[in-house]
Amino acid sequence: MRDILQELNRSVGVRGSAVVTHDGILVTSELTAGLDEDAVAAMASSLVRNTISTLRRVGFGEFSLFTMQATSGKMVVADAEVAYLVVVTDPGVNLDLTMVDIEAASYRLTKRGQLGV
Amino acid sequence: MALFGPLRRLRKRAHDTPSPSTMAELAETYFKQGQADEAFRTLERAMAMYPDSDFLRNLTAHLRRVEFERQIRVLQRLVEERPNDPTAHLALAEIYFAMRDTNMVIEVVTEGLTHCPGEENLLLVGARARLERCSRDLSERDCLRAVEDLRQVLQDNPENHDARRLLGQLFCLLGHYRAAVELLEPYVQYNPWDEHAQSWLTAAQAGPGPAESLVLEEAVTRVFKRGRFPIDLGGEREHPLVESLTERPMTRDVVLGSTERLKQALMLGEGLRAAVWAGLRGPEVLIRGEGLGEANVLALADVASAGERACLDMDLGRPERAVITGPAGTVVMVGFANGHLLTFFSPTLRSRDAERRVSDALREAGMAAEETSGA
Repeated sequence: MRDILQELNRSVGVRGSAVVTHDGILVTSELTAGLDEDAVAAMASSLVRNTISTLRRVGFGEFSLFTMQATSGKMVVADAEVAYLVVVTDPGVNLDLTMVDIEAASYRLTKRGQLGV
Repeated sequence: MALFGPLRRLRKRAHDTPSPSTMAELAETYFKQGQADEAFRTLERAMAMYPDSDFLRNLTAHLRRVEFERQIRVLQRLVEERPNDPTAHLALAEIYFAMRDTNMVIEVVTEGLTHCPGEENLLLVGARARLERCSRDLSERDCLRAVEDLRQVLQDNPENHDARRLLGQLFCLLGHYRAAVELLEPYVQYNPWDEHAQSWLTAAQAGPGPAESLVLEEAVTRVFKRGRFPIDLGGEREHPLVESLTERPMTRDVVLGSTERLKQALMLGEGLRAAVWAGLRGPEVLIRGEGLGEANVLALADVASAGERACLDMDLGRPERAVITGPAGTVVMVGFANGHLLTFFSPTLRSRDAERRVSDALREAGMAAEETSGA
């Protein structure tokens, strides 16, 4: 699983990525220098958990893609069926392009999860 | 839980060894990094811990002044670039209003009305400013001009409740009770929780006032001879989206419009299920589709809180835009200085189209000046 994240992190502007279960538990993460693994894990878990619980109350259910654009960076949470793939990028990244790599990584995670690898 | 940069050290210091100076240093760093909201939140926390600290109080006042001045410069440029856009004039007037500079509010509104004659919101802000100045300086001219402007607002839009409340109260103070009842009765029916308006209505209904037969000018002169004019401009501002101006300055260069216009703009087209404005005073439902409970719709605001928290912890800055897609539809969130707009679209609309709908609605409502492009 780490190899998928490592490859994803080679995409332009990607600062780091992590895999978080639908319950918000960190499975694994690959972060570039400067990113704190514990902090990312806590943030990703809490974001996924809170967002899902909120969306359920509105009748939205689980989400397949969550993109967040902030003043100093962007964040993508993509559903990989078995878990969520969380990606943090630089602010100037064109997500339309990076999304191709994220979707590919998500697909590979899904496949691997189905095979129980 | 900062991840990198000096903020991490400062946050840790402020947490481990809190003092007015460590908290102030943290707030100033946030401010310098463009995170004014977080700077003022830090100062609020610090003031709660050290309520007698003059140092913190002075720093808060200083930073607010700097932020206001920055916003004024930005909005002045915007007014120059877009002289025919009433929202630019309005936003600038609101900043001056928040600074209690009524002379400048009137100047900005007067200039705005030369480019946008009869614009409802400009007239209303101008009337408020004149009434504030009038209660301070007892200027009869301001009072009469405010009445004239409010009448014009109601002539163009009889449903403007803010104008109805203000003019009803004015007539009540001036002893023109029949006119006051006509304005306040429908207002109170619509806003039964407004106790002040209810009491004016009760007073007006008690019978014809001594000035009932006087022409307006004479009634004003008569009332002003008492030496006081206790007008209540209301705690609520006419634009809920600028609610924070008096408490906390704006941190983004947004041009603000009215929620009413935003609602109308959002409702154009199919697919919108709900819209919520999550401001500093709590969430407010703008639109609620069939089958959705109010509490459930309000819960959308928690998406903004979760996103804001995550961005802060990751040092990603302020959230500007988020899009969440799933089998049940799309949620689009747009961040402003003083809150977030959250919209929930049904799955019949593709997420790109939902995003476009929100952008178009914001533009339509005059709130798109600083909207950033989609993620």
